[in-house]
Amino acid sequence: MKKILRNKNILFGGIIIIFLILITIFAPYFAPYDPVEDSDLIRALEPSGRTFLMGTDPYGRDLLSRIIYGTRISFTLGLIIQTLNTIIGVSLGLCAGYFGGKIDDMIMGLTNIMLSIPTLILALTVMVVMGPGIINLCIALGFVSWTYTCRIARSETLSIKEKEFTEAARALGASKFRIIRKHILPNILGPIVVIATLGIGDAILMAATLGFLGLGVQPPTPEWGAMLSRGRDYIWSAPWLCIFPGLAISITVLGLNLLGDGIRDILDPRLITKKYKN
Amino acid sequence: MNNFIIRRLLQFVPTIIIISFVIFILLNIIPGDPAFLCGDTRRTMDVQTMKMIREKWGLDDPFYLRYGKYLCNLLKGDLGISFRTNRQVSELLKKCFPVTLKLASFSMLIAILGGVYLGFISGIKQGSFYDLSCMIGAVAGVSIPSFWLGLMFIYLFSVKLNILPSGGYGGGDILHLILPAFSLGIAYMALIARVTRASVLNVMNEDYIRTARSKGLSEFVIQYKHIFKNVLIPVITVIGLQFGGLIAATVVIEKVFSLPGIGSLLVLSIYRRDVPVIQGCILLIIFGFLIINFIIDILYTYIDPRIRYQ
Repeated sequence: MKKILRNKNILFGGIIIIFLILITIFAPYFAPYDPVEDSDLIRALEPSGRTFLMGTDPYGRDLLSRIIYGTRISFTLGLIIQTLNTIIGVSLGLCAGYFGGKIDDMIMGLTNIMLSIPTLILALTVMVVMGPGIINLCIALGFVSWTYTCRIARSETLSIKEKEFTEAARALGASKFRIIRKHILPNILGPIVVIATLGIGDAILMAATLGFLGLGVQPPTPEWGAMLSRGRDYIWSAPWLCIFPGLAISITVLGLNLLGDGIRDILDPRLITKKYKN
Repeated sequence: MNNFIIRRLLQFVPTIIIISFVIFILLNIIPGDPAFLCGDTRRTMDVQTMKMIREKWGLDDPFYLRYGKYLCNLLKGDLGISFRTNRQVSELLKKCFPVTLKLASFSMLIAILGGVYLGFISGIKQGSFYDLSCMIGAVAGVSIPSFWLGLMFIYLFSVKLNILPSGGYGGGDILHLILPAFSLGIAYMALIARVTRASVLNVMNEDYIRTARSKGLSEFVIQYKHIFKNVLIPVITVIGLQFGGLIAATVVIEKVFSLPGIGSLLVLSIYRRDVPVIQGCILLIIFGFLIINFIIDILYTYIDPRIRYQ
């Protein structure tokens, strides 16, 4: 615990993320107005002031309330996408590493093909096919960004597979499924947790990017990327529509990156040794 | 070495075939009738016209036949005809490609020069105020979305200070590329700085650096002759890996700055569901990505003579 608290990355990242999680859970209590229904064209594009801390959008909706609810959407999206690609990546990586042979060749072939296509382009292609929307966005991003997790899971499985305790379990007659579930999976979780934490930030960024391109979450749902895309048209007259949603994305991703870096420092002993060496 | 280059170039063919197949399948299961998209979507088309269009584009042919035709044409360099504009896809790509190439190269140049310089000095001056500020900047740099940075640059330099254009290509004028290139390059600069710094810290603990110091060599010679050269290998790997992401990220930046590049063409074609153009843009981006990785592999041998490809 002391080691965790002494790590500045975890401390700062943790504070940001805990704050954002609280906002996500208690969004209705923090938001002064309804993010979608509470619109009034008379108060459209009002700048920051006492009534509307971050100003209003072209439909007269309170920007602060929309950003607060946007935290909920972006966090949920990030978590779902990352969970999906961790499940896919770990399952395929475990199969490739444990069974080897043709299964390994097939999975790694698929991984290499997917790695040769930039994630954004692949996600764009899948979104074109599936059409915009929250569920489609989760499926598209969840299914295109598992490759890195798969490679790490495979290489970790390859080394754990050769350890004595796995040999012992095999000698005792444990089934392949039991060995994978009880002996290999718990031992590869360390690096997977690090990648998963770092990946949430990437997933949020990617979801915001697709939202910005008009292919992600659709208005009037208060998603940060889509809000920025709309704000772009008003940069000359109402710059707050661009400033605040972008700031929200940056702070969230910064918090997650700091937390991920901190967890990596603690869970990856090789990096800690290097740090002390320096 | 020549064998390696030929072998790597030959590997492109199956990769492009597989990728084109995957993209062809994906884009051909889009809901909606492509024949409808060829005509004026605002007007209802009669059955006869739809039939004519389907025959013209071979849309009634079985899937494998359509893919076979597409692949044969692709290998001849023919990417098809746009459903919406009725122009050759290759012609459209030829028009847009220089814009994207210029933007991507300029951004990467900024990222490499800035990232290597900041990361190197940070690593050398480990623990100093300079190091701390650079690393805080680097963490912030990788967290800020490039499209937001672009919008903030527009707000600051175009709206407030009025010193740089807010968008458009301006016939290739360098002034029009400064803001987009910096918006795109800063995130990659941050990433390269982090990798360079980590690499410097690794190299500084090597025995040959201790030997160089014990020989009484000047700090300048140690830093630039012994450390810098050895730092470059992991940095170049990261540059190669990130360049593909950078090419893909031009899609968003071109939208922010209304640049007429491949990215803008791709997004516009996605909105219009113009499948041949979408296919062409995606294949060109992936091809660019493969070429960059190939160049990086060749560069390794020049930077580190220990690496020899058999």
